[in-house]
Amino acid sequence: MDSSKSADERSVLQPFVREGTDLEVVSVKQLLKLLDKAAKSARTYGASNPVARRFFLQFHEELTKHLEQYARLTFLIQRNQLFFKEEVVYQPDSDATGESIAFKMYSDGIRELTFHQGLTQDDLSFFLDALWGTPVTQEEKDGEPASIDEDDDIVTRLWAKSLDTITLVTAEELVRSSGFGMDVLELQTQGFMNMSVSSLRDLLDRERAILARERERKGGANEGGTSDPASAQNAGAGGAPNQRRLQASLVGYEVSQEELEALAVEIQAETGRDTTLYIIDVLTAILASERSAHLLTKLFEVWGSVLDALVRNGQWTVLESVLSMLQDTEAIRPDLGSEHKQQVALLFDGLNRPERLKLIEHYLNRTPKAKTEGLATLLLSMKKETVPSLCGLLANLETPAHQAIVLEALQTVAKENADPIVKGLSDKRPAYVKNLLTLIARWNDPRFADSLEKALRHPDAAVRREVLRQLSQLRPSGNGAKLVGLLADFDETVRLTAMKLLANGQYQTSFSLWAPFVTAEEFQDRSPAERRAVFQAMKHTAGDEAVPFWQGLLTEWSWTQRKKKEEMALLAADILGKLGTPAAIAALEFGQKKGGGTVRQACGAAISSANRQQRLKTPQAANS
Amino acid sequence: MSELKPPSAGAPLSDDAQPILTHEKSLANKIAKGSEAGDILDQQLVMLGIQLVTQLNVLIKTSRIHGRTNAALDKPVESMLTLVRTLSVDHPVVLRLQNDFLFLGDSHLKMSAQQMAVFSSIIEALNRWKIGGVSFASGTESKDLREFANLFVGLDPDKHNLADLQKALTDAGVTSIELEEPRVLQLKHANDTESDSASALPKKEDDPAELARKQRACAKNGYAQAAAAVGDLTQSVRAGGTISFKQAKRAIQNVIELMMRDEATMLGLTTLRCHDQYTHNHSVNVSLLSIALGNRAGYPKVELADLGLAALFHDMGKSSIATDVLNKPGEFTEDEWAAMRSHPTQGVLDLTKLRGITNLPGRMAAASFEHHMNCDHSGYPKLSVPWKISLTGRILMIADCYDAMTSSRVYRREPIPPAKVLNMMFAKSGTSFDPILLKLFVNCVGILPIGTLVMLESNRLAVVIRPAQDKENAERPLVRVITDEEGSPLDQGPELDLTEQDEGGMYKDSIVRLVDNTEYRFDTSRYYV
Repeated sequence: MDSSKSADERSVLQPFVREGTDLEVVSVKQLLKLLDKAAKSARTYGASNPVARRFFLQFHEELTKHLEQYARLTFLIQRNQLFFKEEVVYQPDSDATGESIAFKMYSDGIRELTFHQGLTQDDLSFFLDALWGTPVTQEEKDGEPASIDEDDDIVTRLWAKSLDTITLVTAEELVRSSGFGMDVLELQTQGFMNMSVSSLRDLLDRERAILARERERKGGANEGGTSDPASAQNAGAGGAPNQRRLQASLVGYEVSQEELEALAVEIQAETGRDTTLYIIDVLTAILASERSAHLLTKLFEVWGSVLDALVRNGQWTVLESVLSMLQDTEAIRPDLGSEHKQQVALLFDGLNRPERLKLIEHYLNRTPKAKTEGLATLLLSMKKETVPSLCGLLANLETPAHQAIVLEALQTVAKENADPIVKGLSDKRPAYVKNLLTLIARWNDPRFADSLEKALRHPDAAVRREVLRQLSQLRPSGNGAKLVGLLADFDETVRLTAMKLLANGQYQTSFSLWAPFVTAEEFQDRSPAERRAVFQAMKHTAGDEAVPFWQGLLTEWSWTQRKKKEEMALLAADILGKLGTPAAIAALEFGQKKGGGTVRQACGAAISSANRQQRLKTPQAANS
Repeated sequence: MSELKPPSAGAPLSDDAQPILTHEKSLANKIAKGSEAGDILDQQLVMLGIQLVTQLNVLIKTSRIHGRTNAALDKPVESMLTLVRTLSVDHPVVLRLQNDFLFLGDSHLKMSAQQMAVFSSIIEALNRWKIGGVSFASGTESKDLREFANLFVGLDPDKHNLADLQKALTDAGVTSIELEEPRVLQLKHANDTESDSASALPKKEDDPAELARKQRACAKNGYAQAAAAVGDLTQSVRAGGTISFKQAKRAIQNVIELMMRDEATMLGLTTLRCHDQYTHNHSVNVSLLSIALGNRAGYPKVELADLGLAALFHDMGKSSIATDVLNKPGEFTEDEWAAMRSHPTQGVLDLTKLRGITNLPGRMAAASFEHHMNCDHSGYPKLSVPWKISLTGRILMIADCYDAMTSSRVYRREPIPPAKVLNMMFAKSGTSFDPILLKLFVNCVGILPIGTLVMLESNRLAVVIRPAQDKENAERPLVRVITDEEGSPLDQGPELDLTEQDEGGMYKDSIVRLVDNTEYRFDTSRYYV
């Protein structure tokens, strides 16, 4: 501890600190409060959240200051407490063990934690990630979630990082270093190597005798040592003292710099190797080579789990190549028995399992920016029986880009099994139904028109509008009764769209279907635009059948709602003029006589307009 | 690794206690197979340890309310007895409290947040009495537990001490339960200058003999920890369960720390080659040798851990082979050989299936698949497609072959002396083995490898305990003298550095002959373990 700095600090903190209090302990307690705050905000908002980030930076800054002053900071860890200088400096309010920094370390068997001077933000961030079991932030790339190695804990992660600035001591290390514990490695005293030490005398005697015999036989003419182990075994037999000695050396076992460099390159390549691809290569080699039926059975089971894993991790391109390789199994191994062929077939069938599609869904929703290359191929390889599951996938995916891929696949796969698509139209999720509508639009098959009409009851207005848009394509003519029914729709835009469709002149509808809507009191409350659209639609679908209704409006009189009645009469006059049939003209003439001043004027204008229209039509007709 | 072992098949467990022992059935089944008793998972032992803590807590709490003969104690006592009998077959089971951490033997009992209350209750109860550990012998009976609990809660720890409690137990005729004083652990103090994560390891300023003892103890623990991890996973694969490398990863990281500090002591442990534990010891030996070789080849620390972990499980495929085939003393039939030859492929398939392709380290797959392949593809499995053997595979081939040939094992009882093995391996340099790696390996284990028995010029026997540091004097390693000139064994024989010279420039002693210890069936591992 730097006593001079401590004295300086004492003077700064003096007003706030009781006499006799250790300023280092005060500083540590403040630091831990900051750490707790940083940890809580990181857990609540995520580590990259600006608030969490600010707390983290503040903690790092204060910790750095502390370490500059005291060089290091060591905590002893107990169940739910941190001790510093034999004083409790951290203890969560309650027994909230799950969130306690102390308990996190204690449960991993950490007894002692030390921060050292020079601690960088990265080091600290790594430590906190390890503490909370979160993946390392910089590993998250391209929206791919960083994976957490399930075999790691705080101790192994920190060891692998080999930080000089954060060190740990585990309880087990302490036990070991104290020399406690049973002697866990027991010497084998029975079995083949069972000679006891008491027989060493015999051993030595026999060896001496052998040596003497060898010496005698060679007459002391031994040439001496050699550089290889084989000769070393026999060396030393006989001769002068130094000639008797075993002579061996490591000459010839030197490893050159070039050889070491070549190894370094290999190590690097091995470390950077794509593990998944490597294991697939191993499995492929086994597939091509293995003769044992039992192992082949096991291999195909493993391939099933491989497919699962690739799907789970969104490795579509790898999956694509694995599938393509498996497709060629019979070519690679024409000797495969029927049982194994069946296993291969089952692998492909297994692709259609709903669980697999669930895995895809889980991955894509977890990874909004996932690379999807190869996914389409997988989905397109699915059988028509998978359509319900594919529909489920489409319904549950959250990202439009992902939905588009599934849609693409369904366009092909569901062509021969469209029932699930039709059923899906009654689903309550608008995005899903809209996707299905898009699919139906792509097929452009009039057989779906009836099913589409059912979707007109969908609770979402945008869906109903979309249905109408598609109906205009698939059923642009015929009985417009269902469309008239949409006048009861709550959404004006839907009603207007329906009316616009009916106004295309291709639908027929009896006035009796219109009457309940247009004669109702509430009809007058609808917007002028809608009323105009309704009259237009009536003109095109019911024609002269509606003329009596409009004529009635021209002469209707009431003490109440005179303004609205007049508006209706004016709209009626206008539409009668546009209808321009003799019956319509007659109705207008009637209105010109019996209606109010404004109505009379409107009827006159409508008659003139109708006549103009008529005149325009006549020469055209004559010319034609 | 715990010293605790499960009971033999002859010690049936009480059916009454089934509900608390969720894994007991499987444990009993495994034990019933007989030969696999040594493979029982540490994980399961730890699980049973947690049950022991839980039941002890129930027993103590119930005893605070009821007398020793009350029926309310029946269930916790019965459960405790089942656990104690399961855990204390070879040694008493010891529940220890050290620095606020509970251990079963020497295995740390990791607790979850949910178990916190129970653990805290026991820790506080033990702390009140200043008890460092409670050991229960296999002969513990119902009355012993009742008496113990009764005295534990009946006597006042403020007025009595630990000795009083132990005496009261003895007076009551309870001899199967013993209390331990708290052990004084060597804590790392705030003014220590060591800064690395292995700072709890012995410090250099310690007395050399004590330092050597501690280093050896650390090394042995590291070795045992790794062996336990292999046992766990082997058993897990046999049982078709899931596998986690967490325990193994910690063990290997520890081994690497120890290896970096004292390679010779760690490699000395590879002389431990007992055949009944062959697979486990062999796996750890191969891992240690691979780490040492990898280190010389230039693997960075993290990659070295990956390599060590891979090596530790290179024989995982043997878990799929029937134990009676693995342990068969006689010659194998053709089918049995075929089964043995299938283990590299079995290993990859098992590991891939259990871990999933995306969670299996590539080096582990390579270690399993390639370790018998030989560089010239003359080994197995035979492949019908071109295959480039990875560096991991080539390292494993050397480490595996060296340890296998120097080991005594069931199906080839006679081990070969290390120096002879190196010689045989060199004959296959460039064909079976990578020549560069083999050279590095010799540099690593020495031309006279650790464990080699030698006769000295002074007519004494000695064993090599550390390869020569100076390559020019490769025949002059550090040896431990094990007999005097008459051949009388020395208990703590001196260590001799054979490069040492006297004033006249003459070597103080030299090796005159390598002794084939296997011919005499003399196991040199006793000088390392």
